[in-house]
Amino acid sequence: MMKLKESLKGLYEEKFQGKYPLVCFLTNYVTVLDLVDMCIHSGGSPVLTDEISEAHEMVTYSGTQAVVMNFGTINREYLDIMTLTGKTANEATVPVIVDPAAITASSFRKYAMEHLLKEVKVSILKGNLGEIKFILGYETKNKGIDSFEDERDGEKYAVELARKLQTVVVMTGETDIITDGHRVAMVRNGDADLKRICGAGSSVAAIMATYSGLTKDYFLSATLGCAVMGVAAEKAKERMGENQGIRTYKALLHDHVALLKTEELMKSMHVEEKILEG
Amino acid sequence: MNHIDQVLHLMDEAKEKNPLVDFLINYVTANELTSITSYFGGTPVMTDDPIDAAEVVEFAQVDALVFNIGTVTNKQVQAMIEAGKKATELNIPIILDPVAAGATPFRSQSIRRMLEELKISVIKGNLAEVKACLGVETTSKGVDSNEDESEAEKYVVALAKKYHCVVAMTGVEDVISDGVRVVRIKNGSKNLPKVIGTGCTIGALVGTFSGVTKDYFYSALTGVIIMGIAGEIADKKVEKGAGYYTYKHHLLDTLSILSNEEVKTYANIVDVQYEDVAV
Repeated sequence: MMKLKESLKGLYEEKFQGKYPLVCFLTNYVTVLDLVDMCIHSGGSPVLTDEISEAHEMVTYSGTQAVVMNFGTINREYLDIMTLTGKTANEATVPVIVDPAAITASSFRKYAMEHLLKEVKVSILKGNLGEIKFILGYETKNKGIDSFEDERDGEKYAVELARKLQTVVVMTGETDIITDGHRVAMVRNGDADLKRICGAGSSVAAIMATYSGLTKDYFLSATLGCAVMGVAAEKAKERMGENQGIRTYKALLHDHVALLKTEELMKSMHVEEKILEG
Repeated sequence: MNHIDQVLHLMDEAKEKNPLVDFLINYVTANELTSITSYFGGTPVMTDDPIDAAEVVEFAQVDALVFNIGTVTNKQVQAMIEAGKKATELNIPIILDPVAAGATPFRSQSIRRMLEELKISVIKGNLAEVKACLGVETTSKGVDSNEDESEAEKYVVALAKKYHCVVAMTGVEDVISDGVRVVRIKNGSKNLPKVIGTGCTIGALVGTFSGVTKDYFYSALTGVIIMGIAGEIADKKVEKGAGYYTYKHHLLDTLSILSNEEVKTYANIVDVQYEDVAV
């Protein structure tokens, strides 16, 4: 337990050492600005591409340290770009972080995910419970980007998917669950209004990716991403005045992700870890 | 129910039912549109691929579609037509925002295709765009209208009758009609047209409320009046010396916490007795 917190602290402190991990974003055009902002707030440096003839070169040529793939506005061409870039990232042992945003909306998206998972070894898969269940083939109550699932069984599904894919799975929710199928971390930070910010969910992936560029322990970088977002959300909420709305909340959230000090993170972080049998 | 009660009812319904709104829109204001949908209880989904777009409508059981042609391409028109056909078949409302209609022959043709091949429930645009949809000559070519709005009803009603839909014209005063009922909304702020995306955002609001009613006259009215009222409230929050970006911030903030009471207090809707006059 102490060990996880110490490791999280160690990784977070790298933010202040001027390493600027380069993160390549293959994402949707709705929340793209939020994602790249969050990458910069977290100490990273973003790069974007839309062109299939160069996307994979972002890995080999520019030395990208992590790749984010978000399904929010995926199309067939983009699936090809993701697949090719993902394969290149695998060869270069660069981590691939996948956000299956709104995957429950069509069978094309389901096919796209199956195709990607077949071709590319994913390092972190981050979704809400409905998205995780959908990838596993269960019925879901998801609508669009939002999950309406009962999260009490969340851990079970996250572990099932992590074991199936042999990767780190993150289920964002009231309690965020991070697991590699063996270790399970539960992050109990955050705020109910966080889901009212469009893009907050996908932004967590940007923070995780930034820290995944600084470690090979993706269970750790994923947990750190959830903790940073959760603590920043709490700090932002504390600063909300009367008659202020979600736009102010979003601005304050960005501010706090950018300004969060190691001591603040350590003091407010509620992280538990357990080891599963079997 | 009177107009205001209808508006308040739809606001409650959207927050309770969380309608799923499918967006085929421009990439400039996409974040604002989906954010504001969430503020009012809707849940957004975006599609880009023509195959995916057609499938999402039925697979995800969307409650309304919003088309915005701000950065439209041939491929996106194809996606809109495919998704729109499915929506028409399933009786799901489509809200069309013909941004800069008339700017190019491509846009005019694309809009005509949509109006003729699909069942459009609400057309939301400024007077220049309304005229362009009717095929009437206009002087405006970009996203802004500089038309004389004193006879706006004439064009709004004509377009509503031509395509059997609701037309919501945004302007200094907004005019809404289904071809029979006509209202003018006298809410709004001079600052609103200075913020890019406020017009498009009304489309997202109309989409959200169209997902919880079959009377699209009222979903259009609700979407339009909410923006006008939030615009007025935001005016009061802007301090002297602040600019449009600050105003935009206050506007979005206000939208996210707008209460039924505020809507009731501020709403200024006037019924218009309109004599049918040929355009």
